[in-house]
Amino acid sequence: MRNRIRELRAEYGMTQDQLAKEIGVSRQSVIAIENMKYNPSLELAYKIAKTFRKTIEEVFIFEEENR
Amino acid sequence: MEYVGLLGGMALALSGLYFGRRAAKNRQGLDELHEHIWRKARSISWYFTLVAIYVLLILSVLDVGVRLIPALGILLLVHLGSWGVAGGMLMAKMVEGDPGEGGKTQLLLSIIIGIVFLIGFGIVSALTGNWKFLLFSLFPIFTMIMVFYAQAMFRKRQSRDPQ
Repeated sequence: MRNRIRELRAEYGMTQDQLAKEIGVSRQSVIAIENMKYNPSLELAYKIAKTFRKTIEEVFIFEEENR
Repeated sequence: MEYVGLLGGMALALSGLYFGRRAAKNRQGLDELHEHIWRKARSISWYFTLVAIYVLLILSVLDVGVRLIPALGILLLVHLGSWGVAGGMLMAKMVEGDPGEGGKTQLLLSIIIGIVFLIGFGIVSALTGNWKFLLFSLFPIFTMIMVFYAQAMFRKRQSRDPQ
């Protein structure tokens, strides 16, 4: 799963800390999600999308793994 | 004396857990990533505990007598130690690439590993009655923590002064 969080954060002039406070998680969680090391729950993905006034599909891009 | 160790150890562990969780809560650290990491770490620690049980059973078959209390102590150490180390490693993996957080997590991990080794050598020393095991373990453990500390400081400085 890819995401556009870093790009959207830059667009909104938001730091990782500010985003973390906004969605109620730690900065480490934002780092992990941004670096695609961790896929957030649906609830958290919704909160992130809502912060950037986007839909979940606009923030998170599903990529099927090569089989 | 045993009561001091048992109750003191438990009191220290519980107060550590309480203050640790309170500090984490203050910086919104008790989130879903925290839950995910520590659940996974607990699952990994059971594999280590199973191996430790198996090793203790083999030692028993080979007639190397490890008495009940030391054996339980070893199992407790392996379980809690591998839980802590696995959690630290998973967290380090999650934030790797970030200069500030990566360094801090690596330092914390090195301290956890250091404590586990210290307790391990302490048990070996107590079992063998030879305190040199504990004494000689101090220098490498201290060196390892210092190396990680220097690395964390170096990364922090690098993140402050971008090229």
